[in-house]
Amino acid sequence: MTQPLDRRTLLRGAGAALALPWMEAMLPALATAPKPPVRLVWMYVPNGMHMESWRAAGEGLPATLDSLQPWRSRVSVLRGLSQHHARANGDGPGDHARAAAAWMTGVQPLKDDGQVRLGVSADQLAARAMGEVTPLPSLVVGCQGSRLSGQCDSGYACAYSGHLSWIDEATPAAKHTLPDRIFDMLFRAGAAPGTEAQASGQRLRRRSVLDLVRSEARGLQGRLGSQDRQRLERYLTSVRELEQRIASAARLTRPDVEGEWRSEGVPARFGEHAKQLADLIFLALRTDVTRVATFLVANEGSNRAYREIGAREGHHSLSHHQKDPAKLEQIQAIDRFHGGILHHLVERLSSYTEGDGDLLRSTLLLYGSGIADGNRHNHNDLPILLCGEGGGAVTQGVNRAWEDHTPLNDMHLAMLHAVGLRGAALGDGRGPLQRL
Amino acid sequence: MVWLPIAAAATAAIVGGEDVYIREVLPLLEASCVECHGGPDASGERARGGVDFTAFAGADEARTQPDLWALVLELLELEEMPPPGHARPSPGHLAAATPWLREVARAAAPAPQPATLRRLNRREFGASTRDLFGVEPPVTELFADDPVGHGYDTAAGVQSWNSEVMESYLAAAEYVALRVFPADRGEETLGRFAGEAIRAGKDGTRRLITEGECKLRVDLPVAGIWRIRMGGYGEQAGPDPVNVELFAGDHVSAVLPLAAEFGAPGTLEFEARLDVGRQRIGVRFLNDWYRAELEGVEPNDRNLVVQWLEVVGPVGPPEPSKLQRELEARHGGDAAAMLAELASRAWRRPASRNELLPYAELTDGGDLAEVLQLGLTALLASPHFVFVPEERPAGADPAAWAPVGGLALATRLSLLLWSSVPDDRLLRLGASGALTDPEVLRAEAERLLDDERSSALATGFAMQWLGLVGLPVHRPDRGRFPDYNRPLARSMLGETQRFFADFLRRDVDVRAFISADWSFVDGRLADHYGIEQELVDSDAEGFARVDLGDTPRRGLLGHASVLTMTSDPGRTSPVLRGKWILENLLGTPPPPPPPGVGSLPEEGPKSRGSLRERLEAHRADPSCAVCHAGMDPLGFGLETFDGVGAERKVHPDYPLDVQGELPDGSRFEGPVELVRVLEARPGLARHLAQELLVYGLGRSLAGADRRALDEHFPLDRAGEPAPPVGLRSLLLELVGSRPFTHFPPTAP
Repeated sequence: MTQPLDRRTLLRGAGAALALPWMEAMLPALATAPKPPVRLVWMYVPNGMHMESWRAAGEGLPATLDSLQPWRSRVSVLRGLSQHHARANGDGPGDHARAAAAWMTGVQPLKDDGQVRLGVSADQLAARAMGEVTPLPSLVVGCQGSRLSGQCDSGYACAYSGHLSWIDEATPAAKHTLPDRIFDMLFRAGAAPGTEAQASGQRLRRRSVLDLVRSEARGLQGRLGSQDRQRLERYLTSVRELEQRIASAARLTRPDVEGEWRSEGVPARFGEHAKQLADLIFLALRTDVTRVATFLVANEGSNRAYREIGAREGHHSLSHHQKDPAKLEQIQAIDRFHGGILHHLVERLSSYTEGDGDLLRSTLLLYGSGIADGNRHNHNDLPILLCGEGGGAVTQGVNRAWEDHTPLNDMHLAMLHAVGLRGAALGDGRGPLQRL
Repeated sequence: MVWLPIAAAATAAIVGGEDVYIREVLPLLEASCVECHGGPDASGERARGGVDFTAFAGADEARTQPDLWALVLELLELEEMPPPGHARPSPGHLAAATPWLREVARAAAPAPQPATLRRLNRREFGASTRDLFGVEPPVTELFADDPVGHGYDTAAGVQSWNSEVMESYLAAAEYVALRVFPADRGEETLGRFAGEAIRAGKDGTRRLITEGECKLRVDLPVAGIWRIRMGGYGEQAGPDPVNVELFAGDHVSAVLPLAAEFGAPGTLEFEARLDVGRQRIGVRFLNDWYRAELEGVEPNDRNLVVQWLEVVGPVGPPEPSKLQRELEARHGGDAAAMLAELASRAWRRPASRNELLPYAELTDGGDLAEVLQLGLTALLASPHFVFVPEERPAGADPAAWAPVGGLALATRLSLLLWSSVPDDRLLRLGASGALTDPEVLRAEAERLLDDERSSALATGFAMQWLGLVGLPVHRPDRGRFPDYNRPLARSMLGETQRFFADFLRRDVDVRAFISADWSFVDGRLADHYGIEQELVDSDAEGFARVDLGDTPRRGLLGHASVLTMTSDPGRTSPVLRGKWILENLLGTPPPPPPPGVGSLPEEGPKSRGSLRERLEAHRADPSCAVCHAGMDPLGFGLETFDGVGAERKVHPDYPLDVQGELPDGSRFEGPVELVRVLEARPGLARHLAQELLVYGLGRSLAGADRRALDEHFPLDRAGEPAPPVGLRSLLLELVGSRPFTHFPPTAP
């Protein structure tokens, strides 16, 4: 009886032998190595950062991201990018909810604790465009669930603080938190382990069920008011998507990475949990199960106490540091801790060879927060780091600064541009950032 | 824009123009509003909430802000402005100003119509299939957390729908259908359990070094004969091989010798007839053997090493469920008739022939159980089950209340009181229209409240009203509160739920939520509270009613659940506790803090001054004092209890300080006196009624709803306390009120 090895040991070496779908498709036609597809990743940490470190970075990296020094030539600090719609603009308090809501949408969220209205996010635009070719259009993960009691920030619905990814103006994309469940979704087509016969029987039954409920939804639509019809329209869309997924599950075999995963439940330690989610993002991108991933490390406004690094007071409380040196020190420690999670993902991506380079070369990974200084709650000159070359779309290792209040959405548009999505409309974005 | 002055002139003609504003409206504003909303001074202190009534040059300018005046009118009518503690406007001023306010407010933008197509949330889905089919899927595993709006998981406005949500409903429907109509698909592996599931060590095995068990719980989809298998080996020593027994449910295998050794593991197997649902399975090590004196001479320690457990089955055809047998008794083998019956119950209305046609077509061929299973899955994933459509009658006068039909009312009622769908009787009364008769409605509400399903009000409503949903994931600092653990947290919630359920059962006056000198504790909580009375007449989970008259615990403010949830992980927070009292208990939330405010550092010997000194320094800032002066003192009254709700005589860092003084001059010391002050505050019944309505309808309340509630739950007037209202009576009154039985007007 062989025991599965520790997953992380395996991840470092294994996998190169796996044929990727894009390789399979192109190998017969091309003699030279095919160009790997570009992958997009967004990674967010809440409550802003220690901005002094970013300002002092100059041509280097912020001291709080020291751990990324080995990849200095492959990452860049981007200064001056801002998210205008994270500001109050007349809506009063609620900077945390707005910061997360606007980060990838560039849209002012509706202020109401019983209704949501926002706009589509950059990653979901990418998912729409690229999702047809991969089993899953995108992977959205985070360490914390979205459920918190009552309103989450000064009169805003909780959905904003816990979701960066929005399918449309009223629909956040489901965020997944449980590593085992995510593995099932990515590599076992959502089914628990079972035989292929079991799985195909289930697919067949689901297809009949979806057929039935679709016609029922259509029948119901005629009887409803316009608001409710919209809601039913989303139901119908979801039926269509599930049907497509079932069809693709029958057609595309998922890569077998069973040997690289050992169920451990949700790790008790936050850092371990976050690293597992980073591992899953890496696995999903590497095997081309999806090309778009979004990682909300902790919900915006999170008051989690990072006891593992000796910070007993909650992150949000600390972020209102009022320039107290002791608090600023703890904020830096938390920034370093978050940087360690980023480090883990970057290391993973750069350790895997594909095409002429590594997976990091095929990736654009945008790391940052929607608040700059947690004490000021400002949303201009945000702390933003871009990692990876996007298949050559970006020259790395050079910090860049734009005029303050340059929309962050222009950066998102540049990322979408790198995957061939031209002329997309995204919130207050004007056009892809140049000089990358 | 030529038309603008004309329109303004027309309005002016109706309400009398400049003169009226100056003559009828300004006196009210001057007497009752401008003290706080009277225009910026240096500190910005006199335009609270950004509202400044002195900013208008005259009537024309004032009229350009109809939304503002609509809000003014509403807040005046609700008596929410001027805020508590300030004098009411004189009736003369009010009467004079109201016509102008009404007229101008009419131009205000109508409130956006929120989505009303509510879906059954996961609690409701689970309870509904439990009540309809006797199967409750593990919804917390199958569904993501439901979004919360207005404080409740029922809010239609925040519910969204995407393919993941659809998949959750589909999976839950499959779970139920598989159990109601078990189909014969041959033997399948339910699961092979290793690693975490069998609490394996680092090497991936579970080693039993003394006699003991390796067990886990499985959820069997069908009743029948199941095969339990174990893989592993023995660390053999002594005269006998390792002996084990396998067990499943109440069945135990014979003693099975396991001769296999490391490197060549073996398999043991055992069959048992098991019921559907959760079952315990596992393996027991029977003959531990150890001889210290033989160390180094020969193997001297006999152990069992378990590598995995497996459940395979069912062997032979599965047994039909109880419901399947009942349906077959009623309808013979007529699958279409069975599905028709199930459809009408699940969809909470008679299903039409057309709607049932596709289901009848399903039944044209194939295995009966397979067909039924497919049909039931579709019935439950159907929008007719999942959504709760309520349509205002098309021809109804938009300016009037429009009655909710009998069937929709039946669903409203059962969702409010049971978090579940109506039973057959309620559906019948709904379908016939009898339910719209107030007396029938009341009688049905009584019947539903008497049913044990009404416990959903304690677990669903009360936990959210009181903000306790997050308690299971709240993590008090272990160093400071070593006694806090999960079982204690469960007991804490058990207390609050029983306390609430008791109000429902005995119709206790809701003011006792604040002042009750009794509660319900189990042994663990009694220890935590230092209660020495013997627990008599305990319920199945060990909770008994206790008298707290000689302790400082009163009402909900003495519950450890509340006291823990309103503390920071490392210390108590008078601010959070004060805020909780105002917001959750009394329904008078303070406004959110302005941006950029600080928070208090973790208390400890290093921080300067006591918590009170630091809070008072904070309150020296007038923009903080506005709210904190009415909030923090309340919390200080509860300093008797530590961050996990245990009573304390000393504070770890400075002298214990339990005094409070409110802006109106009332003083108190400790929780019992605090409760006396709070008890006198009006409006609890009204607040509860509003919360229950928001929870039950899944939407926020409009001005029309609030005005309608006035008839049933009059706002208390100063010096004229409202009569006592029991919680049960309150619910019955609410169910009969117009906001519950009608759609509100959609036009002013």
